[in-house]
Amino acid sequence: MKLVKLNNRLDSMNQGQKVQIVKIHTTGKLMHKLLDMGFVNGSSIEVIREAPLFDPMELKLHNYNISLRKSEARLIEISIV
Amino acid sequence: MTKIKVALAGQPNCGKSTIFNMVSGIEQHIANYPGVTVDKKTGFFKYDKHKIEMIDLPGTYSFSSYSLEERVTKEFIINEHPDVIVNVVDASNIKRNLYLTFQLLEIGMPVVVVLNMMDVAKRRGIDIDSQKISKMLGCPVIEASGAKGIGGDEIMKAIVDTTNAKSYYEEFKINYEELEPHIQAMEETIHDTTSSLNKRWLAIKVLEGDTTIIKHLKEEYFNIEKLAKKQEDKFHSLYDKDTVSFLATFRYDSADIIYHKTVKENNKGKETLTDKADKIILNRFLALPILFAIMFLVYELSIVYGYKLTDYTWPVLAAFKNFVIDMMPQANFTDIPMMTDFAIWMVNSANALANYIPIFFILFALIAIMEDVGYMPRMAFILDRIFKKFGLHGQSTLPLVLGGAMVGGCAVPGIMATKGIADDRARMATILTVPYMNCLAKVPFYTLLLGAFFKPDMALMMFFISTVTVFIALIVAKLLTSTVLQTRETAPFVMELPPYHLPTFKGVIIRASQRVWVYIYKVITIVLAVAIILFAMLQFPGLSDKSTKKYEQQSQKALETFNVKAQKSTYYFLVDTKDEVSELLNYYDGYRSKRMATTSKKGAIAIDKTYKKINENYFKFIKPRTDKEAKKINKILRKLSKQRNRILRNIKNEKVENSLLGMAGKSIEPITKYAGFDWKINVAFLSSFAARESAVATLGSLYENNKADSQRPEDAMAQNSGYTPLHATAIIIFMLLTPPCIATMIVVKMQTHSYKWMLFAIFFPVALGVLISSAVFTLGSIYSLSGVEAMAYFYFVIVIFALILGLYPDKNINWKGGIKLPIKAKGQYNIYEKSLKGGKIK
Repeated sequence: MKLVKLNNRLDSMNQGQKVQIVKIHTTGKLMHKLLDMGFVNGSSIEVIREAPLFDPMELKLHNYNISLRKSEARLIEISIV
Repeated sequence: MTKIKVALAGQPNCGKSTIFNMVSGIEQHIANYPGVTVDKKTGFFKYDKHKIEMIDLPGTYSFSSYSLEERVTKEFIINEHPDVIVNVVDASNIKRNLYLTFQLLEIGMPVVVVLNMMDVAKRRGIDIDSQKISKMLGCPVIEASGAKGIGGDEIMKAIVDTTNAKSYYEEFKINYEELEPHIQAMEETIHDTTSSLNKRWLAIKVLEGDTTIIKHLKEEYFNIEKLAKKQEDKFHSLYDKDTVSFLATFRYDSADIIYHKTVKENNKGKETLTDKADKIILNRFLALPILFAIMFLVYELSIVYGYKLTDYTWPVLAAFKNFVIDMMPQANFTDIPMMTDFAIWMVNSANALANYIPIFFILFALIAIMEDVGYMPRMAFILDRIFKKFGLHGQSTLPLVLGGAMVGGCAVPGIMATKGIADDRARMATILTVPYMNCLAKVPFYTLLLGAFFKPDMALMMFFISTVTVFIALIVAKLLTSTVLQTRETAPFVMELPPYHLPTFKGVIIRASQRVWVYIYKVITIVLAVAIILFAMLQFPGLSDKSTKKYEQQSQKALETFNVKAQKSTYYFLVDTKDEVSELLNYYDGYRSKRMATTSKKGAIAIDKTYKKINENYFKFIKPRTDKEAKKINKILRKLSKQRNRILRNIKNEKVENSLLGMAGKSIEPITKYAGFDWKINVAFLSSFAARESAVATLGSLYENNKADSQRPEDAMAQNSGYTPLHATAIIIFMLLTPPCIATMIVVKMQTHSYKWMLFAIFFPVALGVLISSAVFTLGSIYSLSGVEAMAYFYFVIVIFALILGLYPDKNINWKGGIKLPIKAKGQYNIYEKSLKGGKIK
């Protein structure tokens, strides 16, 4: 499944950008996990860096750091702050 | 004295285990939760006339139902009814931690909150009003620092006080506003349940679709799921929200309120030390070199230095062996009592494994340090992309390195290190591929074969051997994850990168000792049981009468020769009976083996002294110095000892050939002949199942030349086996893939919790090994390749195959969902259900 890069998705953000979660486009287990880790609507996220091999990415959320694969970051719709 | 049962809960990286170690000390008991591989640690301690039993629950971010750890935690709460829940909270990361706190409070049991790492929080300029938190949450809040040993007494006091004040406990409630009517409806449904748990909590959990709780209630309310779904649908149609994310958002908002009212961050936005360190450690260009340097260091310290350390521990084991031999009945020339034989066999088997304990201790301590420091998740972060391609996980790095991805290692600690991998499919794949790494005990075997058949190309062959394994492991991982493991539960890679922490000495030592103990307790005991079986299989049915007679004659002849020559010495009167000669021989052999086990001069003098004391006359024959007459005896004694050893070896070989194991080796010859293996190699492989070291010993003794004693085993093998280098290549390839040793199989059983997977882990590599080595041998014979050529072709085929698999684009996405789907509450529920059912964990 190759997806077109969307510019309102978390995976297309660059290092240092600050964004806010608008909506998470997923269901089930992944949704649960993301909610538990604090990916709730309205939270702000800062992109810290990409891994040396460009995937996954490191984010700052609720004042702690978390890593997320780009395939999952793509499911998070954001707006740039 | 009253008993208090305490459950210790907290999010990962909150320092829960340092708090646990601080209050319970070293009196800890480790077991598994029933049916799963999650550790259950229990500590016992006394405080103010109360006996406290504290259970360390697995670290979980939340209390929803999808992970194994959370399921275990909930089952514990349901079945064991703790009196108090102690919730450890990372003071420097309070908001996210409070998310769990709210879920714990909702259970409806008294909670004590422990604000851990207060020192770290203070250093970062975070001011926390713990009294205000206590007031807002209606529970005691203790400030502590597990690493600094602060707050232990206060925690115990709070536990006791809270238990005593239980009758004043008032139920904790969050007002979920628009969801309230639905919660109440659900509560109404289950109002007559016999479950002693809080009904409101049960109602909320049911609405969340929590499978553990639903299962718990289903016996009484068979249609509970339907009723819950009805409420959920109603809620969804009224407010266009689904319960799961509504509840999560609500709890996060509640945590946020507490955070804003009680916490003041003075250095917000300032770069922390962790941020600075990560700029280097996770730097795009430096990350990989640093990772390799750290891996190299771990390897160097544990495997290389640990191996050197065994030089000091080995004499202890050798002394133990000599001690056991001394206890056993003595041999009468070539007639060794079976009891003695058996004791030696058992001690050898135990020592072969016990020898690795120093290595494991260092290794486990280093792993514990890396875990505590926080490097593990970063390692996963750096390498995840490569491993993901092959169905593994970033967290597979360490197990593979320990297993011997670089030069050599051991699968036992490697497999034990897979415990932390969150993704079940990747974890299973890692467990099943670690045994393909280069086992240290295989190295002598390779050296023997390379020395015998590949003298000029030794370095090249060793390069092939040590690097091909990683590619094989990646291919196997890909193969397994896209076939037999396809339906296993996977977990999204949503992983915290916690701040760096200094490890505590106590914590590291406790963890390393506990893991070494597991190794001793589980692995060695079972290996010994299998050693007994192997011993029996090698002993029976034993020699034929004809052969027994033949060896008796040989012994007789050797003794007579000795007798004739001994008459020339004036000491003949001391050795003129068979009993005396046999006693002297045992004395001589005993002295030699003890002398070889000591390295110090002091020890040598002490041994001399004891032997002199045992029998002063015999000592003259061992160390004749200037005594010419004694020298004569010494000379013929040495010759006799050699003769005896040769006869014993021949007896042993004949016994092996006629034994059950020998027959087994012969019976599989029709299959293995395609790989060029004869029965001798088969027996070596079969016996190496107990411990790989024995493969070399078995082969060495099977191929030893019976005439020239001084010949080295590799030369003996080259001359006497009739193999070509191509045979050797096939044998090496088979050894690369297999056979797994029992110690490894036991940890596979421990980690997968299933005999089925253990058997799979035995037979799959064996089948693969037979198949590939047969292919290489057969093709090699057809095209008349040399051994090195065959190995090179094999190597390049494997590497190219691995690269193709790696570059092949990923097709499968591991979970459902995506931007194309319009989301409906009903659909979501079903997918959630499915993903839970898909992953069966036994």
